[in-house]
Amino acid sequence: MNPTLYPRPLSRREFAGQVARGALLAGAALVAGPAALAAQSGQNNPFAYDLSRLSQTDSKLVRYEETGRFRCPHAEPRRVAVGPGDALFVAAGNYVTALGAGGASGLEIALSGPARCVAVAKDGTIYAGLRDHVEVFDAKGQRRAAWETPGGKPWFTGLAVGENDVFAADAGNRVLFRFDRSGKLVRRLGEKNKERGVPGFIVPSPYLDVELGPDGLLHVNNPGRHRVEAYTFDGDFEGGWGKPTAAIDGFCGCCNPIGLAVLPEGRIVTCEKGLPRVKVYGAQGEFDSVVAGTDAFPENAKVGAGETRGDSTLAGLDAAADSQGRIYILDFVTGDIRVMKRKA
Amino acid sequence: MRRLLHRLCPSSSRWLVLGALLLLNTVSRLAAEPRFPPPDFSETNHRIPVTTTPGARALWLQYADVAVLLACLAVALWLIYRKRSRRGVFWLSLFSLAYFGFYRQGCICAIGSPQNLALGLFDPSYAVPFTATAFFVAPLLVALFAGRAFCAGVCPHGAIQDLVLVKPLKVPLWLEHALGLVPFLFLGAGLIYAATGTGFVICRYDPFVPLFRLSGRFFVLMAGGAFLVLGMFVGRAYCRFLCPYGALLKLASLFSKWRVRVTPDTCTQCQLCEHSCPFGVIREPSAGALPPQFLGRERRRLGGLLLLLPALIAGGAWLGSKLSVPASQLHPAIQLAERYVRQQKAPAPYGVQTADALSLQRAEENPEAILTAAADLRQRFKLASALFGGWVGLVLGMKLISLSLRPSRTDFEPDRGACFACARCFLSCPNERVRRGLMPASELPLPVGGNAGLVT
Repeated sequence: MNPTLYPRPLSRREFAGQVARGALLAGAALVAGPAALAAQSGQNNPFAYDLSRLSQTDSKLVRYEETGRFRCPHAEPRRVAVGPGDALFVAAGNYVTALGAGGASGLEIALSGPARCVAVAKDGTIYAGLRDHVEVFDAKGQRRAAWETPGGKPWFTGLAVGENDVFAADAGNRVLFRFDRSGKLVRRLGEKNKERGVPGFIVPSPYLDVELGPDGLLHVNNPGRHRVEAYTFDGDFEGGWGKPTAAIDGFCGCCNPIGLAVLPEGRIVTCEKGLPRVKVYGAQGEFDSVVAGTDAFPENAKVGAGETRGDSTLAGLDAAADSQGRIYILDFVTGDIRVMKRKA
Repeated sequence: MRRLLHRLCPSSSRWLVLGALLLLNTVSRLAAEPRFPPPDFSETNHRIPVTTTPGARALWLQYADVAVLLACLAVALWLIYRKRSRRGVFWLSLFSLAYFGFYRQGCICAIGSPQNLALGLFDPSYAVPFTATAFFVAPLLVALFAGRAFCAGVCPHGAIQDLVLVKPLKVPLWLEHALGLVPFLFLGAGLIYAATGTGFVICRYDPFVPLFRLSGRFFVLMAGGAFLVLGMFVGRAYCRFLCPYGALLKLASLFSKWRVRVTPDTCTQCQLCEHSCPFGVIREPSAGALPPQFLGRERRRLGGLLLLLPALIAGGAWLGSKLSVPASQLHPAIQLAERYVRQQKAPAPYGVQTADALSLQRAEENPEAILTAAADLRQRFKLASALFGGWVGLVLGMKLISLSLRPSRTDFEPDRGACFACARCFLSCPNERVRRGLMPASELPLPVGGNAGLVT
């Protein structure tokens, strides 16, 4: 009897043959599909948050050159300032340290907490800003006073000292305090006041700085507005300059600039984070030159972009200028202090 | 508080305890690091969004999910076996689609539950949720006793496919059998990847859950759309050719105590039911017993296949172990270790900030831990891949064996394993129509012998 008279719905042989053919086709598709996907993934993602283009600086705009570099003596550096005789003072860790030529450590003052900012008067008195108060030391490092903590949520991040006044930038309270040299609070400056036309500070992160210019005005960064503003000692708003842009002549990100320095002739040095860069502007805010671009601070840029475990909110730069127009740049991430001199 | 202290401590030590509490409070306040105040957005009226973490579903709601599942299963059984009502099953499936699909957004779901159990078995730190266990066990138990009632009216995946079915086409038999193996392979892969901690791939590539959630990865959303379009012409394509839980239900249903019968009475073998099933699972009566002269050859074939089965399993296991490296590359820890090694060999310049780039930066801080974890995982994958390969061999071998068997059937009956118990075929049966009073008994076709389907 012919066995085909008892057919199954599907024979093993038919099943195996058809499945083999199907498997061949599926295999070809499986090889071709991922290959096409891989080729596609190699193409640029047009939506990627790519800042690499902005991290390059046009070399024609860089008018400063590095003439020296030395290490900050302590971890967690925050501010740098120039004192009498062009001595350099650094607030880092729980210390304020005076540095001589070539970075040699001189006077070292231990503080009761982390130093946030520093300023030195012409008579050598050293003012160290901690988070919520100011401590005063004489030129030999002897502690003379610890000023009263102001109310609110103080977070001092900048200090400047004049003949009779000390100005403290409080990033927590978004205000500038004017003290007399004995620590008595004279006035609160920079608070929003429509009648006086004061716009008020917008400070998303703890970077508010103040510098005293040769024009007799206080120069304060207003990072949330991407501006540098000028105030009189009495709190009159004299104007501001700066524009929010990723271009080199403006300030980008949520909040920049974060630090200021004033050159002897009144030009203003700005420091930025995120895209770390240091630039020089004229006293009226016209863009002058680049001191050091983002490509000069690769480690800082990585931390600032949140690409490491480092606290990206603490990645930044500060600068101070001496009487000869040299600019000292403090890198919060590497702890380097660079000495920059204008090219001839 | 004072009364409690009075009870707990004698008066002399009470002050000591109070003092210690005050000291603890003071120390904790001093140790708390002050935080920089948040930005002020009063000018723009921007409100800082509050970071929220979705809380776990309340326990009573989880119990409610299980209760709804059990109730739906009970109603499905009643509708299929007692009422024999397609309309009832349809409305039940719509409810299930609304509840388990769009309200619960496909989670919790029986289809992914085997992965929870696999992970719980191999990872002592993972506690299998009660709901996952219930969703795994209940439909299987029902299938062991009464077939795939879960697929019929409780599974939202089946319901959404049933809704779009317009013109069912017959899938070629060889393709039906070949694709019918895929759910078993997908189940094996899903269990292996869950057990190794790689992830729940069954859930990750579930084509319908993103539709229920109205969001998901583009590729999976497209797959869901494609399955719905395909489902217009191929009934329940996902259930038949991909669903891993369906594979388990299929196995359980093969041994079910009760089964769906097309006719409530005797089969007239009119073949009307065969045309009513959009899934092609109505089997015609078999040709009866083989003549004795064929028995020897058939037995030898079967014996050969049974002998071949261990060889297929061993071969699959060997092949699987050889493919353990590519199989392991789905594990995120191994992906990271490989990226780290590639980066060390050919450092890429600092570029775009992506999640991958960030994880790589973090790996560079402690490469030892990443590489050790990856090496351990590779070892685990060697065993897991071998097991999966053996499983593939077993599935193939069992398929060949099943094709050699000749089930004995005297009537047109649904395939025990493949039938979704959807109740579509009931009303096609003239006996059922007579039972319901839809046609007079005099119009019944005359029953033919049990060998009506035999080709002679």
